Amino acid sequence: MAPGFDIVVAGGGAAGWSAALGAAQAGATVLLCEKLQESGGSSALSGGCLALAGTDLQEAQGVDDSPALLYRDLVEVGQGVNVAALVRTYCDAQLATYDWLKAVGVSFSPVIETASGQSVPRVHTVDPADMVRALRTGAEQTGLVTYRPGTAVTALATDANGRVCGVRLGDGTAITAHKGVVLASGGFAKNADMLAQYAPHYAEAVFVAGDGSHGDGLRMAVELGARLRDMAYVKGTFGKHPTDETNDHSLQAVYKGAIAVNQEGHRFVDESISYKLLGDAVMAQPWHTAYQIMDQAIFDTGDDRVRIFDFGRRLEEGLFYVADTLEGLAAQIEIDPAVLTDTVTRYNGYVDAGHDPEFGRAHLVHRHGALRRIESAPFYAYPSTAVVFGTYCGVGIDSAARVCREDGSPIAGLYAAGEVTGGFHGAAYMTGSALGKAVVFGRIAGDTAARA
Amino acid sequence: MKIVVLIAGVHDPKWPIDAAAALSAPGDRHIMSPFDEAALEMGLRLRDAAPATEIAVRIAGGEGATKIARTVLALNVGDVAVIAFERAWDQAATARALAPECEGADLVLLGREFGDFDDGLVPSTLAGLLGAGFFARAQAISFEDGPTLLRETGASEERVTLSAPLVASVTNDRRTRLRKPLMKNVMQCRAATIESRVVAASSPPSPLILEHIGPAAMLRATSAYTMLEGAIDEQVRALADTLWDARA
Repeated sequence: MAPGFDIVVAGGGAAGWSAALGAAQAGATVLLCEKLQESGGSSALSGGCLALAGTDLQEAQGVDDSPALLYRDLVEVGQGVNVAALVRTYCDAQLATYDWLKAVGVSFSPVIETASGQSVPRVHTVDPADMVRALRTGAEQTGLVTYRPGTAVTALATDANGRVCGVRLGDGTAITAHKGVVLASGGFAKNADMLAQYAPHYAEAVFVAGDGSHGDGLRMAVELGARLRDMAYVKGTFGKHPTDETNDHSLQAVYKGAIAVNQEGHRFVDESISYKLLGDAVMAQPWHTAYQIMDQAIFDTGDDRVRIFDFGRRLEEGLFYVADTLEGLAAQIEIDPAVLTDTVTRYNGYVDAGHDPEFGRAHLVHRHGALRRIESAPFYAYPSTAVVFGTYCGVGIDSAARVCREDGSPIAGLYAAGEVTGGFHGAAYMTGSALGKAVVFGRIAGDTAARA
Repeated sequence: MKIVVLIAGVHDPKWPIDAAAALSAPGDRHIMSPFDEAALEMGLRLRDAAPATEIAVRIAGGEGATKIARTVLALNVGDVAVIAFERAWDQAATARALAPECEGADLVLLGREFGDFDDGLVPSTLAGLLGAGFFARAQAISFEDGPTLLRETGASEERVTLSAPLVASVTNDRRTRLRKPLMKNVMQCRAATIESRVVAASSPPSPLILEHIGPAAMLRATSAYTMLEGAIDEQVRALADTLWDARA
């Protein structure tokens, strides 16, 4: 093997650059390989949301949040399937990671919103591409990080004791990693075979992910005996316009008070639940499509600084249907006007009564916010299906980001962070927890490997 | 009212162009241009305002245009056909081939670049062949005083009310962004049969190879000249003599 580095990081998204920075700050030399020409990966395409609790931004807005409440929400939204130790590690490390990101130059929007799975406003928003650039700049400024774009890691090398001691690159070059390898290569949303194997129920969904999302790291780790977690819970995010190809982001008007109706004009779910569970629900509807129905008062609660609530931009892009009456709106979306009117009237009655006997909706989102009537013209409909932004499952890790075998023992020298990992989300997903886990566990992986 | 919308289609820019290949692409790489979309949206707006309006859409590109045709079908346009030009490398020939498709139409809408890469001759020639009026670069449509096409020229706005047969070339404008089809209709149209026909029967031209294309030669005009020299009064006398001689 050629003279190597202390650590090799595979993948240049948020997790990879966090690992590189974390390792370099602990004094290790790092080679970061990104198989595409541009780094950023799926992180740069994301909505830029991080689930953080107890920040100064929340405090400034009078939001009473804490790591303990974050933990409770994460376990609840994950339906208890998630690995408690990973959730605990995330909750314990997220505030320090927030400060670490700010120190490296990441800018956070002052707007804090409430979204999927959150009891209180907890969505902290960044420009995700800028965040990755800031992490990269910070890493390279240490002088310890070498970056190779357009370089794929294709295999892991082990020594006689089974310890991961290097990688093989796409051109056949062998690179030694004295202290270990960090897999931060993303998920498999662009790998048709793996999707057919693990998520056949999403065959008709829209897929939006980094071009490098082929499951490379997952494959390499499995070859060394890594266990997989949460593979049964690949889910799409509700709220993607099904026939628009210009705007990849989802819209969550339901979390501001809209209802979701299917093509027959009927509600089909408690709209306050995780948008991953809403994704499952919409995929079971005719044409895999629903409409988020709202009135002007709900529309006015949108916020153009938060992508999932940026109603004005979607209106400007011509993606909303708008009408002065519910009957007119129904005609545009080819639903029986009487059915849609009846659905909205019945829902408004539930809001007034404080009880939704059909689906049990009690809040705008999770446990936050009072329901709103849909009554003031004009009325809006936003077509929505599920979009798979990431696969949210993968190799099992422990709290030190070490990749583990089926029996729970760590594979020496092998670490993982970000979308390639499983076990943290569980059965569903809280807004901001994917980008959050990328930076939190990326930093932990780099630091742990450097100190090995 | 009977409306014919003519759609040209363009290469989807997300696919790289192979300079060594013929200047045609598989059907899944053709999309509507912004001008095509605006023309179609204007037709749909007119139908929204008067549901009895008939819309026929003809899409250039032959079998390669079926993806676009399915998108149009999903917008609840029933009369959709793809058409192929076997020899169309001439604006007049293109317009002549299109004219039979537009017979009887009260309004023909087409993107301003249709058939000649924005030279703008196909739409006006088509209007001449149909004996219809012509309105270029239509940007928007209004209904306050009856259906009216609008365009902006500097600080002013020009309008034409739809009262006689008209051909309108359309440019893109935020006011005529094409609506999205419902997913239900997209999926229902996936298996629809698309009518396809040739509108100009003759031998096809050789395929156009991108790397064989070069800039057209510039014509250089030359003429004799005389420099006027000396003081101003001398130049004035010389100029007067030249003009006097030319007059003779």
